Amino acid sequence: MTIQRQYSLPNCVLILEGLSNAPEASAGGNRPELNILTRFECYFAREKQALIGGRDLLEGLLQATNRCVQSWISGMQPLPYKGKEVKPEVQLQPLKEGGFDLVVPGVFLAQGSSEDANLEQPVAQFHISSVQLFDLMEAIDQLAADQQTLPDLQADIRPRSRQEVRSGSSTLEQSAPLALGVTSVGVAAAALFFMPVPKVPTPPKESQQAPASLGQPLVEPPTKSSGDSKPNTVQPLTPATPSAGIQPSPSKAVSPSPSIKSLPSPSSPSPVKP
Amino acid sequence: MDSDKTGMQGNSATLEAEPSDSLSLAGLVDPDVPGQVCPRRTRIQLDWMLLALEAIDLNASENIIAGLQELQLQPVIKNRVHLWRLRNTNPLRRFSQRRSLSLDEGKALVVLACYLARHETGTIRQLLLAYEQLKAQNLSVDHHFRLAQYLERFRGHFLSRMNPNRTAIALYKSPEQTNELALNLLSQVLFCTGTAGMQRLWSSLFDGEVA
Repeated sequence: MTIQRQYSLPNCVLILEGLSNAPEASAGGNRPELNILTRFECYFAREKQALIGGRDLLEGLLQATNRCVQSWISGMQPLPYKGKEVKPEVQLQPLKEGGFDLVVPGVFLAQGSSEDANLEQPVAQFHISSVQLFDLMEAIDQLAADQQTLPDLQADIRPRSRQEVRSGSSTLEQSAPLALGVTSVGVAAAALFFMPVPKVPTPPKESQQAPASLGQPLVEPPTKSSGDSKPNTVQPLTPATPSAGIQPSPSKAVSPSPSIKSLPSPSSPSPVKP
Repeated sequence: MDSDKTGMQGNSATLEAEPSDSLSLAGLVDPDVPGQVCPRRTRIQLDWMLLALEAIDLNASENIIAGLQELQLQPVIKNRVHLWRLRNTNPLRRFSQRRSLSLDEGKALVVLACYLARHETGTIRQLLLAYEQLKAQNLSVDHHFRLAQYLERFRGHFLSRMNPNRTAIALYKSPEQTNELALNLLSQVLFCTGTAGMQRLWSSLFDGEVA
């Protein structure tokens, strides 16, 4: 006799069909024990496509939900999935923009018995909200807690160890600081490679060059290094530089002088008035 | 580091709490944590979840006291003052108590949080659905009265009780950042309302903390 069980929540409905191999005495009266699953269906509200499969699909959903909910409540990074090539897994991951992404590979879906849409589209993908995820989790938890339906199905709820969490953030995240350090050193080295080597003005060299071209370097030496090369460079340039250097200073000195001149002008009318 | 340190200090304080025979604590398994006390992250998360529940329900503080009696948790949490002291083991609080939170006390707070969350399941779902609708329509949270009220109350509780000088609190300077935290806590609290909510919350509190 086929037994059907349904766990329905506002956004998610699970339907299980199966058989009982328990002897009639321990069959639990009017509610026999379902311990052989023949068909499993999962429906989400507002989604046309249904997930239809067997025990693999149910267990895959159970593990993915546990994994996702655990990391969501704890606020820790979810463990990364191994990838399709290693092992096909039901994947449930939080999205940056909110909500969760549920991906079910075609291996878990019953091709023949399901709708035609499943044949064309081997991978089922849903974008579900946190309320929908809660309903999925709650339906699975109710099923796992039900001793008359698949009693061997257990939700493995346990905290992840330090090692697991660390391995979750593994290689890529752990090597990020190292890679950043190495690349920044590389970039800095490359940039510095193209920089010209700064010329250190050595006193004997400049003293030789300066007399050779008297006209041009007249302006440069004071701007380049005012403090270091003064004693040497100034000596040969003394005839030219003082004239250039002194010129601005009188211009500054001139400004106060008109102010002094202007002072008498207001003062001059004052005696006139009285 | 921090949890070990406070664990040593708080051992004398936690001794006064007798192990409870309460049925509700029995289902939660002791995790393998150093010193058998709740780590820092656990204490912060538990207190913040209760803070979110207080923002959802105005009568939360009264319901907590009623819950202590109903759930027979009084051997672990004696009264309101004891509860206040336990919640102040959150190191980010203004009046943080330098004592540890024993596993039994942690369990009692988890049982309380789930009790309150179950009472408010309908409201929590409504608020989350409203937020999703607002987000889909690109509207601000102010367009939903109850959601805005919850966020405002949470911000008020958070600012008045948390120590602004702590770096972890300085991250939540702007109202937007506090709102994001409040919404995250709201969805986390929803997951505690289910059939296995208590186990899920308890195990998530030690995620990455056990050996």
